[in-house]
Amino acid sequence: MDAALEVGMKPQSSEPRRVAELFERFGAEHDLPPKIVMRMELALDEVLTNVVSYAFGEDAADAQITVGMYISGSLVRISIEDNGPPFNPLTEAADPDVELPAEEREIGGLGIHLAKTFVRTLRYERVDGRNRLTLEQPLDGQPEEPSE
Amino acid sequence: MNIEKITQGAVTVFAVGGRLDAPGARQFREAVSGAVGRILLDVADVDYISSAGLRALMEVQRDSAAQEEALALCNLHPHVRDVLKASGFLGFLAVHEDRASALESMG
Repeated sequence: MDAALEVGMKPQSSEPRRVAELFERFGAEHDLPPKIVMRMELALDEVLTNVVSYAFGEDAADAQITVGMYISGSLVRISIEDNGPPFNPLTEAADPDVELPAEEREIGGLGIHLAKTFVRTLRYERVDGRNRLTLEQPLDGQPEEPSE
Repeated sequence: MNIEKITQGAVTVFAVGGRLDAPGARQFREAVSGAVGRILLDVADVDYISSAGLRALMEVQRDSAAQEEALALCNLHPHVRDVLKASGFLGFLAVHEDRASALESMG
């Protein structure tokens, strides 16, 4: 089973939902397991929400954001590229302490934590002046269960 | 987001439906802000939540705690439960199986 879908995206707050729902439909059309689709969709949404919130600012007119969705064999891959300034969300977003009670929680950092929890492999590269974040999930075997 | 507000005795129930992502969370906060007393969020028709939705839940939880009032959720979709679990929110949010059992325990 091989399939690919590539879409462009504007740096607007309504766009992550549109593209996340495109992935949901892509997954359903290709009979991917719903649990894997939901989890990758969440990771994609979190990454894209970060990009539209922080990556551009005044230079939004020049923003180029592209999302590629691929199935090859038993691997699902999502690639997110933008021409914003170099930013590695995997190392620069602090991990939240998920053990803390509500009143001591920091507001933030949860999105990338969820992406890391729910998708097997996340990889950041700076390629030709663009940020590229790749999410990869094998279809064989269930995704990991979150710990309590 | 579809948000319906129902008063059931001493408890205000918000029946929430749709995606609790960044745009959904903004609507949710607007609908729930200003509510006083005991609050039950019936999320039976929410099948998707992102960190923006989690932040909104945490803010509602803090508002309730500041008023020393109870807040609870019921009818969690499995994926929503998954996300709450992964982020540690099940440690501080009261979660009930369904609306009847939630209302019974909230009095």
